[in-house]
Amino acid sequence: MSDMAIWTEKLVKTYPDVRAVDGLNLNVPRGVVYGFVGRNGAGKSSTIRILLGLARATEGHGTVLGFPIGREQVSILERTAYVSESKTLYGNLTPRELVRFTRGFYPRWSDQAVRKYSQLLEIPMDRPFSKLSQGNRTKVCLLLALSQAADLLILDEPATGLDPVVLDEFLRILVQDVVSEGKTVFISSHQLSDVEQIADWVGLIDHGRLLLEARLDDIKSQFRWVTVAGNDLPQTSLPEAMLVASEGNFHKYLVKKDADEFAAQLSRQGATIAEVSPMSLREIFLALVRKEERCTSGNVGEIAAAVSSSL
Amino acid sequence: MYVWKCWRDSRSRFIFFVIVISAVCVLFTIYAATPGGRTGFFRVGPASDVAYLWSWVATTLLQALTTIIALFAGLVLAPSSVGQEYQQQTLGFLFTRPRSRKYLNWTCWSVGACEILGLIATSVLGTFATLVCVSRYIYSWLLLAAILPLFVGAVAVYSMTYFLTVYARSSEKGLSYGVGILVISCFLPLAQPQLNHVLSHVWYGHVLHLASFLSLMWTGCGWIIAPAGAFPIGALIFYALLALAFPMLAQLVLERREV
Repeated sequence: MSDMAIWTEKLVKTYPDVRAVDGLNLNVPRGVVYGFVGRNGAGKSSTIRILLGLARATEGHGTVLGFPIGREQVSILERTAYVSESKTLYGNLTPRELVRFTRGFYPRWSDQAVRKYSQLLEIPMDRPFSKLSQGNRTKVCLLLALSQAADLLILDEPATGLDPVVLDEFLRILVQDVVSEGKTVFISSHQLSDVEQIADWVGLIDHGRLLLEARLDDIKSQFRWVTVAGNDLPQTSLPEAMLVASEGNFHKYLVKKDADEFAAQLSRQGATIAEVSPMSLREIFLALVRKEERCTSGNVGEIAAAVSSSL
Repeated sequence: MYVWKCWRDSRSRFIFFVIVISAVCVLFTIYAATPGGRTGFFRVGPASDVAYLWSWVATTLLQALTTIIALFAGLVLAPSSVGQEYQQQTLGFLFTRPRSRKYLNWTCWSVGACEILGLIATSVLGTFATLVCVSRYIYSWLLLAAILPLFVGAVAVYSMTYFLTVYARSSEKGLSYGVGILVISCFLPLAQPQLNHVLSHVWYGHVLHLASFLSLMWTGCGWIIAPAGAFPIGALIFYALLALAFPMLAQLVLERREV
């Protein structure tokens, strides 16, 4: 699995009162931007903590950049830059001192990157970290991560506090400076619009399980809303379609593949096709997550597997 | 790197203690050598007066004041450790740097131990130099050996508090527990008869080891000037091992704990 930047198999993390990660199988290819999206408490941060060795997996195993999780943690951390969700650094140190502190850990550290990104992101380098605004704190964390020249960037909610201009600049940096050099970016976020802007791959997690993992282009080109009118239509059993809503005689399907063929089938069954329309990532996310909410714990995994495996 | 960070966090406290302990040692030594001072000794005098001055400094100054200041420094320097990282919620950042937790733990502990060594060396060397200046005579090189028991005793207290800050995930809690244990251990000898009565078959002879943070430093310093009986080498080794056991325990805790 060394061709994968991140690979996990049946990863489980349980806490006394919750199963935070529940049999997660992640496959993050190298050299891509991977959007790891899910609601608050879906298990994103728990997964990241396991990948970075901050927490131990209850079950399952995996690799990061080919190194087994939990066994060769220092090797993983040498090649991985991480921006945490909390963006908490030493409050009494200035960004310049934080750079000085962090630089010593990384042989490939780039002072040129520090100069470039500190100017580009307009970071006040000589004010104590505790006196910085939330946005500037986020910028400092991003600066430290970008300057490590890491093979893998793991960013947990990286957009926190950034204004639209800086966010746009940051996303541009990720695509132009990081991914273009063959590095991998793993972004955990619930800001779907940001992820949709730059991600090559998307993994959708809810209740600790992966509901969907696929190329964003494939998702966009194949997922469709199919709205039909008619009686005695299939309810949930079609593998390529999920009934999302029914109101009176109208039924709305999320179709993950061959939407036109699906519509034609329904048409042959006497249904009237009202609309076949593309879906945004946000719509797919909401449809899958809400579908899961309605499901019992027994069949959620089946839907997830069906959606994932067909892409 | 992390050494720099640890030093940066504790340097103000270290410098404060160096100034206090140096001032106390030098000023008390000069006071002792001044006419009308504690010894009535002034500059070069009869050999017996020189001996009295050196003896007084070793017993009163190193035994009492330096011991207390060194113990206090051990307590106060320990909280600027990994326990502080818990409190500042920066442990996640630190533990995602490419270094093992073992390395980070021992680096942090070593910086504090070096500061204590520097502190005690400053006080003893300062005292020694002042004594030589005022008496123009080196009565006993052995005075310099006071560094050893003072260092081991202070580092044992430092290590205990260091471990407690890690265990309690808070520098403040760790410091409170450390102070509490030290206070109890100091008063424990008062309860010795009762303890001996109650626990005579179990703890006899061991209970007092708790109070020996002080007694090790005390008797170690006293022996240097008036070597009556054996040097407390056993206690020295015991507390040296204890001083190393606490950071080992802290390492075990850190390596097993999730952030």
